[in-house]
Amino acid sequence: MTFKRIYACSKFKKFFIFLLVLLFFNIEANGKEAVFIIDTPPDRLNPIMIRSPQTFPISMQIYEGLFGLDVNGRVIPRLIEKWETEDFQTWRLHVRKGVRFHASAIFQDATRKITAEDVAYSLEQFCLPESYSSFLLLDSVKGAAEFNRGKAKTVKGIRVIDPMVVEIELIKPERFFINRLSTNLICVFPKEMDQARYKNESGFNLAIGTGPYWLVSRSDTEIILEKNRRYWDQQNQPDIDRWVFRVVKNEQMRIANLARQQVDLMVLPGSLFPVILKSDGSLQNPYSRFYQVKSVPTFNSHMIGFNLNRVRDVNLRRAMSLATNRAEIVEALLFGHADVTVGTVPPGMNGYQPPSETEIYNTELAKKYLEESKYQGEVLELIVHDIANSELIGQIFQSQMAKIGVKIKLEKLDFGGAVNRIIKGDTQLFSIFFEYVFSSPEPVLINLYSTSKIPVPNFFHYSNPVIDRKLEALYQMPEQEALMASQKIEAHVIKEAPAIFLYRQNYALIHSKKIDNVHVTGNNHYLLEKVTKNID
Amino acid sequence: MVINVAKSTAYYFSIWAGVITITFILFHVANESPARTILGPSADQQQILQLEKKLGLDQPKLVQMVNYFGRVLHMDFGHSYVDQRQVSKEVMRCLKITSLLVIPALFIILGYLFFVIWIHLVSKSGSLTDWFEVSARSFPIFFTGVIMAMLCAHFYPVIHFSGNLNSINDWLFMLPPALVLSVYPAAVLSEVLKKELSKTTGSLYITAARGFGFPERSLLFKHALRNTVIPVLTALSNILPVLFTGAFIVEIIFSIPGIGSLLIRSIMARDFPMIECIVILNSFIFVITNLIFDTAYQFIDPRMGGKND
Repeated sequence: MTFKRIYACSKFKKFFIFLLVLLFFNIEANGKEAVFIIDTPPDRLNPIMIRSPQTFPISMQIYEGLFGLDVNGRVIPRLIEKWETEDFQTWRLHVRKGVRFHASAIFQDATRKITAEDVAYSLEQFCLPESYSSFLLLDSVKGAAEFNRGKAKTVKGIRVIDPMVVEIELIKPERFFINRLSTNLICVFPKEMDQARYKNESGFNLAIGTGPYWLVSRSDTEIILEKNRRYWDQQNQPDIDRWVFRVVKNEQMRIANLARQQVDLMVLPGSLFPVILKSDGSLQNPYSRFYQVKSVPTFNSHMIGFNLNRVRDVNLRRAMSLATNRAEIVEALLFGHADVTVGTVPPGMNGYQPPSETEIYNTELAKKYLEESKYQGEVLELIVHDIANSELIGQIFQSQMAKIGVKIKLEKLDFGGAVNRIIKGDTQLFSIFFEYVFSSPEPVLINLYSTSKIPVPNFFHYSNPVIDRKLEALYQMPEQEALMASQKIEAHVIKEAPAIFLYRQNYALIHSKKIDNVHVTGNNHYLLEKVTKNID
Repeated sequence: MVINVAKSTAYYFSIWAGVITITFILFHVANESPARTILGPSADQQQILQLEKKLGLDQPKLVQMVNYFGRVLHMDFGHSYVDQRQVSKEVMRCLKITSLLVIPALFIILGYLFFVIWIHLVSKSGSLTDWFEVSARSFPIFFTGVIMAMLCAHFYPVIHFSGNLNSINDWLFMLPPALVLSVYPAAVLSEVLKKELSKTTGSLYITAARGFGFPERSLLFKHALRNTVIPVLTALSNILPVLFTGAFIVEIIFSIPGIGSLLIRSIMARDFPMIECIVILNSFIFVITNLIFDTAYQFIDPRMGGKND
């Protein structure tokens, strides 16, 4: 269409042509771009403040931890290339050479390499009271608790002894200390991000790490990450150039995104299972033409906990545990995307013991325990909340308990309110889930069952001096011996039924058939640098 | 007229001061310690006391209230309890996005009103639009919103809002929610307009002017409309703040990151500084809207100013 003819058109046609031109130039070349749909806006991308599980898939691409987990759940070196200890109390961590922060104006020379100072600074920041991940360090690193309470200006146990070596001194020897750091929750970021002039921007448009992707832009509905072309890990150079994380809260919109093939990766929420999946867990038509579903194991464990101060009758607790048909819950709510558990240690973690059939569901034995108990028919209150299928779990549990004659009343609260009541001990039963960040059973058991950990995270108010002594002994035991001891401790604790462990959740991950190599570690770390995309 | 404007300003700002006082009482006096909320339930008492001192919460309540008023007037609502972001900056950012919903909705409403006037001019009867208005007034906004969202999910080409406003897709995305937001107010205002138009165009002075041979268009736009517009403006002054609150619902349905979404998130997270700021801002919008319309009446009809200056 020549300019003369365009000029001769009516005003309406000119405007229409203008719109078309605008739309045309607005279409960007995608290249290797992939879209990841999430359902809540991300937290502020300041590592010490991140708490929402929905934010971790994003933050773990930008920030890297000292150690990581491979696809088999084993600890591997990341920003720390090797470590030494003679007594499990003092640890020397050697910082990997040649790792650079993402380029940014906050650095004098656009970027710089990480040093032991950065590692020490980051670890100290994670001990601050506002840090969500401080629980990983406070009861272990010397001086961390005092620093957290404002009684010290630095953490005594974190020292830089060499430009590339950090020394960490613990309160007491702890063989599995490295497992505490095997998560990207504890990551390295530059001190410059905390300067006063960047304080308000930090975590919004400013998020500088060492990861395979760097932050290009973020809004409440879209976060764009681009490949870090100077990423240190030569064997894991990202294939996809750009990840677009889209926040889509509305379920209709999510389904529309899938139907229009505008999604490359999405964790399918439970509410969409009946719409997208068949009862056997596979995809319905037409989604099966363009997508695949993958069940990704995690360390997320769901349970119904008892407040042992309010539900003291161990026979009643055992009866309720044995009368719980976990498989029914998993089939009804998760279409099979979960593994039934009866213990604390989830499948996939070292030390996991698969339960026997009679331990999982046995109504005869449940009735026997109920007869031996002192239960007189009183109504027990179960606190449920608004996330992770809690209310639906509560309803199924209520109907299962009714079959053996135990009356349950559901009390629904928002998650924050529920947690407050659980911590205050103002509950009898409560629905809760844990996202384990530890990669070995010792810290899991210590945190859940030590008397010193009441009320957080020992929500059950479980206290047994014999178990306390056995848990204390785990700190210095050699690995294999500790695993055996952990299994015995767990078996003992489970007999007292502090909780009804239900299942270990698997994520139903939907991904486009164009992408491959989707891996997620047990710590919910999406290894997006390994993902490949076929753009043909 | 100046005195009347000054009186109205004093009146409405005293209402706003009352809202700020009630907000202070609700969030600072009747609530658990903000320090406890920030530090979480496992913080010990010493940490709580330290933070309370840092935030000025150890001062007497009256002193805290005076300081609070001072900060509000400077638009300083502090930092979020959840992630320490600056509250006023965040609320302004979200307000900008909500405005992108409300302003097009306003234009759609005004466009519809002009359409109604044109129909009246052409056909002198409003029955063409009556059926639409009855339906629009009958359906609540959340219903029309959900229906529109479902239709958009299937048929509308743009189903995602990036939030950066850099691409035309973001602007196109706003059209269906703006339409949803405008439906009920357009129906209400149109009904008021039609009633007033019928009354005014049937009055004696218009009949006399017609008898003198005045052109119909001139009669309508120069004489009748000016008398019709006052009740419509009154209705609009009530509708305008409701547009903002209606926008909250539309934002939730369409996942638009505006003030409504921010409010819901803040309530769920017990982020009191954010909630305070939104409540005070909302009341400020009510106050300013009423003040503007009160002043506008006096320009349109000087008789409404009382004794002339």
